[in-house]
Formats: sequence, C-alpha cells, structure tokens
Amino acid sequence: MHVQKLEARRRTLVSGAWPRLKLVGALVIITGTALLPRRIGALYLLPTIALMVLWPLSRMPLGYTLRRLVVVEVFILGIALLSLVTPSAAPVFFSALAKSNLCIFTMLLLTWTTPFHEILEELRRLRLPSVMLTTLALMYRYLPVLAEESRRMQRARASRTFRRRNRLAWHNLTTIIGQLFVRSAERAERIYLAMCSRGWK
Amino acid sequence: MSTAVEVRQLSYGYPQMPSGLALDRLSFTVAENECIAVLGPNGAGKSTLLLHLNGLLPEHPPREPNIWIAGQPLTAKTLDTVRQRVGLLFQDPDDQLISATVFEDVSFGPRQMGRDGLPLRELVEQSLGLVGLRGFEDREPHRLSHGEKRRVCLAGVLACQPTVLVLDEPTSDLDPRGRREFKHLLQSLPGAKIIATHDLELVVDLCSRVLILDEGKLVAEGQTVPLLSNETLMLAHGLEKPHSLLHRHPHG
Repeated sequence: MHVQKLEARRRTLVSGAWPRLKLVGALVIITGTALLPRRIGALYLLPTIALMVLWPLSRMPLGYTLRRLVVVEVFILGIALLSLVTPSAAPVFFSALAKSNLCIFTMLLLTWTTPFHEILEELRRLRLPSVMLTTLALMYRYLPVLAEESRRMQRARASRTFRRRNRLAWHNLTTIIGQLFVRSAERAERIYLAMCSRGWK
Repeated sequence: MSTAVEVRQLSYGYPQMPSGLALDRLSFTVAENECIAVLGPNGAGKSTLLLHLNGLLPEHPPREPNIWIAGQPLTAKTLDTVRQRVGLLFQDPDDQLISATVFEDVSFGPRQMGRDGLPLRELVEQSLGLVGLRGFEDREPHRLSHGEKRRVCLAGVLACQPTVLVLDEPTSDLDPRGRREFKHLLQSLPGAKIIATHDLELVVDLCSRVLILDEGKLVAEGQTVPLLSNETLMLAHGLEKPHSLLHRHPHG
C-alpha cells in the first residue's frame, strides 16, 4: 500500500522536479511565511496561493494531509495559546496558527514529493555540516525501528493487562516510555560500535 | 597455510562487572580460508570476543597486543587497518543498517576509506551482487525483510573488502529458507570466517573447527563432528548434540 503511494508520488509533476528547486522553494516559502507581519493581512495570501497551486500538482491526498496536520495541530495550538497571555493577543494567536500551518503544509508537500534520501543528498551538496546530516539520516532511519519497538512493547503489555483502569494504564504507559528510553540508549551504543567497525571516526 | 587470526592470552573484564572476567586468557588461531565456530551458553563471552577481534573492545587497545590479524598486531596504530581487514556482522541488522538507502549503507564503509565516484558505485554493485541483491540500491532499509536486511549488512561488510569475516549469530531470526540461503551465501565467500552462534546445524554444515567458551574460558577446541558428538561435554556447557549428528558416528 505504502509502496504504491510512493510510486504514485514519483509520477507527479512536482515530484519529477529538481530536488534542489523543491528544497530551496520550500525554504523560501517557510522563511517568507515566518517573516510575515504579526497581524493577518493580504500578504498571507502569497504563500497560501502558492501552496494551493502546488497541492493539486503534487497529488498529495487530502486524508494524508489532514491526518498529519491534526497531529501537529496539538503542538501548534499549545504554542499559539501561549501568545494569549500577552495583551491584545487574538491577532497574534491567529497569525501564529496560520504561519505554523503554512510552514507544516510546505514541509508535508516537500516530503510527499521528494524521497528523504534525495533531500539529504541536496543538503549535502548545499554543504550542510556532516554531523547534522548524519543526525538527520539516523533519525529518519531509526524512527520506524523505535515505533516498531514501542508497538511490540505495547502489545506485550496489553496481552497481560486484564482490567481497564486508568491509573494502571498511565503507569503502563510511563513504564513503556522509560523502557523505550533505556532500550534506545542501548541501541545507540550498538549502532555506534557497528559504525566504528566500518571505519567511522 | 598462513594464519589469518591469532589470539594470545586475551583477557577482558567489563568495568561494570568487577567480579569475574568476561574473557579469561583465551588463545587460539584461525588459518586463512578456515571457517570456525564459537559456541557457548548465553553470557559465555562470544560477542565480547568478536568485538575484540574488530578492535571495538577494549576502548583503548593495549600496548602489548593480544590479537594479530594476518600477522599484524592489533594496536592503537594499526586499528584502522585491522578494522578494514576484519568485517564484523552484528546480530541485529537494525543496529548495522544506518542509512536512508541500501546504496548509502553499503557505501558507508568504503566512504570512510576515502572511496568515491565511479569506483565506489562499482564496489557497491559488486558487493550487492555477491549477496544476491543487485538492483536494491535505492530501496529503504526499513522496508526490507529480515533476511534481506541481513544480506545488505553483509554487503556493507564485504564492501570494505575484509580478509576475515566475523559473524555474530548470523542466522538468528531467519526463517528456514532465509537460513538456508544465508548458509549457501556464507559458503560461497572466500576468506577466514569466525561464527558465534547457537545454530549447531549451521556449524556442522559450515565449520571445520569449533571453540567452546564458558564463563569467558576456552573449555574445548577441536574438529566439529567429534566435538559436537561429545554429549557429556555439550550438556556440561549448556549445549546440545545437533540433530544431524544424533545417528552419526563421530568418526564418519
């Protein structure tokens, strides 16, 4: 299923474009959006229109987009709510909400149309420090491994959880998070050894 | 036949385990093109020994070497050369596959040695060809099957052109077909091989000699079939006589 989605994204007009163009374009849109004034005005239409034009061309599905926007919305709302502490906060709140959503949407379009290794390759050509590139590459590689490990632990816990009690559920969750942290640290150690064994310095 | 690996009086204790040694005065040799197995119960020191062979343990190599690879002592000065000569395959492929694509991963080692451009691409293609994964260059490691991941790991090791292959539990978590294919693959590779494993059938098929470790000590060493047929010895060290030898006479 996911492979089909990947294949579908490779055939679109935007996905066929030069990776550097997409990467630089995304950076320009994000930087431009971040520099917009604090009150929502006509200037906000510029990135919005650009993204609305690119969206159909990239054929990024609506469900895919909304699901990811909803996940990050929690964080965006959290940050935006902080702005309500200041006087005359409402415009700031709305501008923070709009800016964040536009930036996230740009990143979604970029990652939908460009395989991650191509983004990394472009960043390498743009001379991003190698430590940063390695960190990004490792993060991308190990997120699914961590997710799978957490799923396995949750399943194992669930198989021995016989009564639904909120307090117990929270306790289980914190145990899983703690264990995941410990296992990640141990895995990091093994990854480092594996890298050293192939000449990493 | 010349010696590929020589270990003399190798001892090691983990700092967090002050009582007892993980390796206790181990000595053995491995000839060029010989395939040997390192057996023993869990915690016997097998993985610790393999990490030593690649110079990953101890953290700072000792002044007086205990390990020689093709006659070259393993010291701080020779660490890089030794790591290139000894290819180490880790037990969990997810620890070893670190890059976003198969090509990036297989080219990781050669890049550290300064390879680039067309020679690097050819080396990667050749290594992937050796493990039967030609055409997998653009695949993402997390979308591969367990058997494929293990093959990519092996390709990454072979791309460094080692003379000694050191393998930690190479067939664990593989289904029977994956295990059979991986065994044939190992059989086809030249050079000395040291395999730490619990898969005794693999040992019978691949290895001419066996070392048995227990509590960090080398408790037995000898030809595979006679040693693995010694039921008393095997049971004493948490092992079992393999099925294929149950009805076979130890001397053929």
